[in-house]
Amino acid sequence: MFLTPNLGGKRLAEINKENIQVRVRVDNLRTRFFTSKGIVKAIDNLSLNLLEGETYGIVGESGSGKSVTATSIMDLIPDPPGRITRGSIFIDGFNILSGYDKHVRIIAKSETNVKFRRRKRLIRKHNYIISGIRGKKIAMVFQEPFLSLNPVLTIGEQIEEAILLHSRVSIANSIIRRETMARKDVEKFVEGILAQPDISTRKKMINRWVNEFGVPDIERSLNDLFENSTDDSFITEEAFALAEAEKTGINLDQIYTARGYFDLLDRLHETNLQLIEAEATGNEEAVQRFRDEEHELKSALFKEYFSYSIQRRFLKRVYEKPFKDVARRRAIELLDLVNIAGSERVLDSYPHELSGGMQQRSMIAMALSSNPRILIADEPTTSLDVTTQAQILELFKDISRESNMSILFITHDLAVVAEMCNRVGVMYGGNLVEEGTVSSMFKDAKHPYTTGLMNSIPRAERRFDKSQRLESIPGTVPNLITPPSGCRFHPRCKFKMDICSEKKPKLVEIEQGHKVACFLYSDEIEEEIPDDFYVVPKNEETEEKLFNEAEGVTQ
Amino acid sequence: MVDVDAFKTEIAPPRKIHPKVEEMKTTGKLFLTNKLALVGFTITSFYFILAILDAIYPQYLGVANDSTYLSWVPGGTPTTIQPSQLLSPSLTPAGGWMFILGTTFYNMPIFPAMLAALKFDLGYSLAIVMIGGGIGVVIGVISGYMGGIVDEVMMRVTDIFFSVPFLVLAIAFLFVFGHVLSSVVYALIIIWWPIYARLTRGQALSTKAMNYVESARAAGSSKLRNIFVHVLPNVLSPVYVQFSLDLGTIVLIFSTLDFLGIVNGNPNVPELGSLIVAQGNGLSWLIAGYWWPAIIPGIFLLIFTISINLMGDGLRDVLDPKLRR
Amino acid sequence: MINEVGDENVILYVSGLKKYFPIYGGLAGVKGYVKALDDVTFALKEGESLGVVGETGCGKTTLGRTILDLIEATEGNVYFNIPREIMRRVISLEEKATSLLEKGKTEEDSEMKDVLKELNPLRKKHSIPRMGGRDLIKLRKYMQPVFQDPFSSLDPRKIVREIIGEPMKVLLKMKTNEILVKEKEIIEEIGLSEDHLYRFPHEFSGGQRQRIGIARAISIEPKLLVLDEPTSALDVSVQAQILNILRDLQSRRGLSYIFISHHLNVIRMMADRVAVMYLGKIVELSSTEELFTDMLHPYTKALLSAIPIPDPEAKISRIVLEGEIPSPSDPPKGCHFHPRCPVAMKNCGWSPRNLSGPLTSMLDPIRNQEAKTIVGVEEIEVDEDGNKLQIIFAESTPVNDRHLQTIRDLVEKESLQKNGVVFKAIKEISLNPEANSVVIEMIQSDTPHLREVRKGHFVSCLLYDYNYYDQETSREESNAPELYSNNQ
Repeated sequence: MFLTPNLGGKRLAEINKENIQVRVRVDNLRTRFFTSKGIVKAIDNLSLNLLEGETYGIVGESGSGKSVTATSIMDLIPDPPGRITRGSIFIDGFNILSGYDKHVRIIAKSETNVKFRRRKRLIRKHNYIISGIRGKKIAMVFQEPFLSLNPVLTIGEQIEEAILLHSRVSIANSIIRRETMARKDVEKFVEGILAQPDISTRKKMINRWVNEFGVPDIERSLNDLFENSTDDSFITEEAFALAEAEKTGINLDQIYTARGYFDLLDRLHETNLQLIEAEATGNEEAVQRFRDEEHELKSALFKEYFSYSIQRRFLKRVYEKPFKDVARRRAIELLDLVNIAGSERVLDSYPHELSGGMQQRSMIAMALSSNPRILIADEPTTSLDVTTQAQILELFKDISRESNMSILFITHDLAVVAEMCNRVGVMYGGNLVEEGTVSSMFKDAKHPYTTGLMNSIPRAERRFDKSQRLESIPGTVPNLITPPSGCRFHPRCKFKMDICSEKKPKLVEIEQGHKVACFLYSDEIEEEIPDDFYVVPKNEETEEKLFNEAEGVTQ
Repeated sequence: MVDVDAFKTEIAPPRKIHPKVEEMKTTGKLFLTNKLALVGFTITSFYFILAILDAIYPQYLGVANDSTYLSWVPGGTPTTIQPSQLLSPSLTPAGGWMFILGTTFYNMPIFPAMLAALKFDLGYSLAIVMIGGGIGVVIGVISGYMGGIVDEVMMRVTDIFFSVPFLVLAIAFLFVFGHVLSSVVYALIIIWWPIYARLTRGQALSTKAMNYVESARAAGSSKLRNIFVHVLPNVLSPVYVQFSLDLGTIVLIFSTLDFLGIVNGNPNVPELGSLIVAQGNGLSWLIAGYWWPAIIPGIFLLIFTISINLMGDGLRDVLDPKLRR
Repeated sequence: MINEVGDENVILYVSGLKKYFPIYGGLAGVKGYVKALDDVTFALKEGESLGVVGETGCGKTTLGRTILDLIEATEGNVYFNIPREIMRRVISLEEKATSLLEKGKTEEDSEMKDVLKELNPLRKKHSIPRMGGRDLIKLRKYMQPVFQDPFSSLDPRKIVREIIGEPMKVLLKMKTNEILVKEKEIIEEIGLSEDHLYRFPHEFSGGQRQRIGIARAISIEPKLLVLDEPTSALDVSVQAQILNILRDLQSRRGLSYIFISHHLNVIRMMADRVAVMYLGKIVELSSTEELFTDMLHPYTKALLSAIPIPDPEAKISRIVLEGEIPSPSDPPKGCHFHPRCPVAMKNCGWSPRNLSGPLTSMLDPIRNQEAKTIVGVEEIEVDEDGNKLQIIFAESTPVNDRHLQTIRDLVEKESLQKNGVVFKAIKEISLNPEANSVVIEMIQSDTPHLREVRKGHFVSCLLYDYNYYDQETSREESNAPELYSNNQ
């Protein structure tokens, strides 16, 4: 059961609390990197929930595992050397890690001697499943926009590609609707609009309609039309004439073929997801049903593939053009959405021609291209200047306000968290040490690390005397190949107790919506589950030693 | 006075050996973990040891000295022989163990001939790489660090040398300095240094932009000191790799030239290429079925080039800081 | 500026410093210049720390390097560590020369000649960019840099002992055993132990490396440290350690700092005075407290309002700037900030190229219904040198007074709108029947100079310069006229 969040901020208070959905649920996540120097315990038993419409901040210093958390949720951990070794990640209720442990068998004889046995077929299948989820349901914005954009393609080409990857069916539908539009469609639309007195709602409806029918170019004219006239037959006449002019008269057969093909692909992916879910629950009957369905879809796809691929091979340009046109149109809209002035010019420019802020906006536009419900932003403003950062943060706020998107915002800057987030989790050494609403966290931080972190920031809004000094946390971030025992923060902690070096504290809720993992507040111990991939070498000597130790024999 | 103790002093565990020695040890360890590189290294060093042994104790390996290279040819004077008179490889050779791999033209035994050839080839190749590399590295580092007009002039000169076709130069030198291997050596040195100059210049340019070079300047370090104390040690890693690969390449070039007959074979100066040609009386012995005079030196050369390349690749992996840390 | 210095010792005086990086364009030679530093002047007192803030490309890093002579200055003078009396003389002479130049006097002018006669020998002897190598080495003992990236600022092939000892070895010519004694002392001071001396840089964490960098810099007991973003690459908890160390060192050794950073919160903690830079120029210079509580320049206002505050309940009224920082190779005319400035006036530097965009949209009949009567516009020609634009009409539509009147009306209307200042910068609109065009001439813009508007508070903005302040156009009347009267 998830705790009911006491979300700060006005907007979230409006949401009916019972209906808040969990968009991402991470349970006991454990990520390891197998390097030549040893196994890096990058994330250790991390659990968190990202709720619908909230912005959840993860703060921590470098090496705290915050970026690894993000890449784990996207399943983008580079393998080798990294690997999620435990836990589950539910995205919209679907566990992307189901059966994950079967894909690779890890045998670690020692920290540096690790062998992998990969089952290629399962991994390929997993990649197929995950690639349909990534980008479509969950998207990511990276820290370095320049490194994440392809330097040899224009911004437009890259955004169009992202759009075409996930929205082929909807594009095909809008083309078909446009070409087959009849008078009665327009009549219905005009009636609907005229029935709606509110102007902003009208505008939204018009926008939706033009996109649905693939005629975005006439949006402005339609708006003018409705502003200047109330005579419905006149409007219908005019609107129909406008829409009629937009028809290109392309051969619809190819569009139908493409739609059929991509629709099948989408359905196949959907069936696969259901199949995996059914397998996880052990529902034999459902498994059989979905297997049959998958089989049918595959054979249908096989037939479609030939007609589609043959047509496409010979008519590639003709074939792709209508799709590309719509994608370009949508790309312009996306760039407008992220407040890029002169979007058409930007669309035709290469990444290096744009400033850092513009690049980051383009990246955000690309992430938004398939209307994901979840956005992961990994330090999106770290490489930007402070005035540009202010612009980008405003943009993120707008996006979250308008589309009710869940955002996982990763940063090392507490000030950015204070401004952006509803809830925040503090990470240290691969663990979540504190979690709570932003207001409770900044008013009343519990964990010694969090308080230390907050006191060590110089404040721009406060006077600073010459004699005053910053509170600093002594020491450095631990090396995660050999992390400290017990609480990973204890070597740097002011309030260190004996138990801290022996046992690991559990993340417990000590106030409504505020969780801390520290023995100062709770005695609960987290049971440490050892990694299951270590193989103890069979060595008589060690066994004997262990035996002696157990018996208490001393020499 | 303000309280100075900003944080506790961090104590490092003491270290017994010098850090630079330890660094070399770790490099060595890393190198040894790469199995292919290890094989390459072993074989290459075996070749070098053979060559060195042959240079120091020629009497034990059969060739007393260069001028008497042909002294063990039956009769003492080189006389062309028919292929049918060649001895084929055999585990119990008739004329002693040096005949184990058979004989080649003039009926001389292949094994000692190959050793003597190796001695020459490796010696020349080392000389070329060291002289050429030395010149190239110094020019490259200076040109890269100084920049401006110095760089412009030095690089144009390098371009000129780069554009000289090697074969033409070698032939010209053979005419000028006579038909001896050393003419080819001069030609190769002239051809070879621009490669190193280019390589180090690129490295020096990126090293120059590093902050530590700037802070050395702020610490009063002169340009020359900067070049040799800070820039040079930091540009050498790729040079070492190039160095090792070139050793093999040059041996191959020598053999090629000799194979083509451009360096007129003086039988007293043996060379792997001339051994591979292995023909007399205008006949190709290989076609006639006498395989060993060509194939055995050929394999000998092949193994050497492959292993030195393996070693070079291993070195590259170890010395590349990106792959290490 | 000497008044502001008062009786305290000035350790560093930078006057009219310029650094132009040439842009090479293939065979054509030099295509243009990136003006990384454009006429920077300031003084640094002994024991003071001057913060330099600005965004990427504003020239703050170049400033630090040019002062240290790691980059050769294109023009200007840097005086460092010279006897007090000479320094005062130099400052007053340099200021006189600058004010004469601003008045438009050339070197031929008799007044100017007098100043230069005395100034030139002083420049030759004491100014760092004009100094010989040997004199420079003597000065290097007293100034040291600390760089941003702790991963590239230490030679990876040297052990810490060699790294820290290098300045002592080269500049002070100390013996190896003396160096070692000193090194042991210093490494303790920055919180590392003796054994750390025998390690390679890659064995240290970022914070430790930065401490080594500081140890190296202070090993020769300098008077000035140029700290170029010393904590930008570090985590906050480590940043706090380094900042504390730097403050302790300053209070114990009486060091002067030039603290370059884009983190305004760090600047507020570390600096006594702050210089805000924008596109190679200092736009505001004042004491830290005054800058953060009562800033004057519109850019500073926007910059400070953009800092996120680690307090969710804080109310920030944010000025979000429009657009991007212009390229320093082709900065806007007049005040570099004017195209993004929310309170720009008509004389702030609007030039024809700024007007061509708004003019096009003004004449666009889709966006502007009233422009429907003007048909046949072929192109808008920008004449940057002549400071005018021409709206050229097609031959089929000869221009007449009606066109002229409509355009005048439109301009009038546009100038009253938001962002309409650029239309106010139009001086005259006339007909040119020969070219069949309407000529729009623009007013000459003014360039702001760094002026002291309050005690010790320098701003480079026409709003605060009573010679140029334009009451009619300024939209920030509440603030500016008051200052205007103050200054009288």
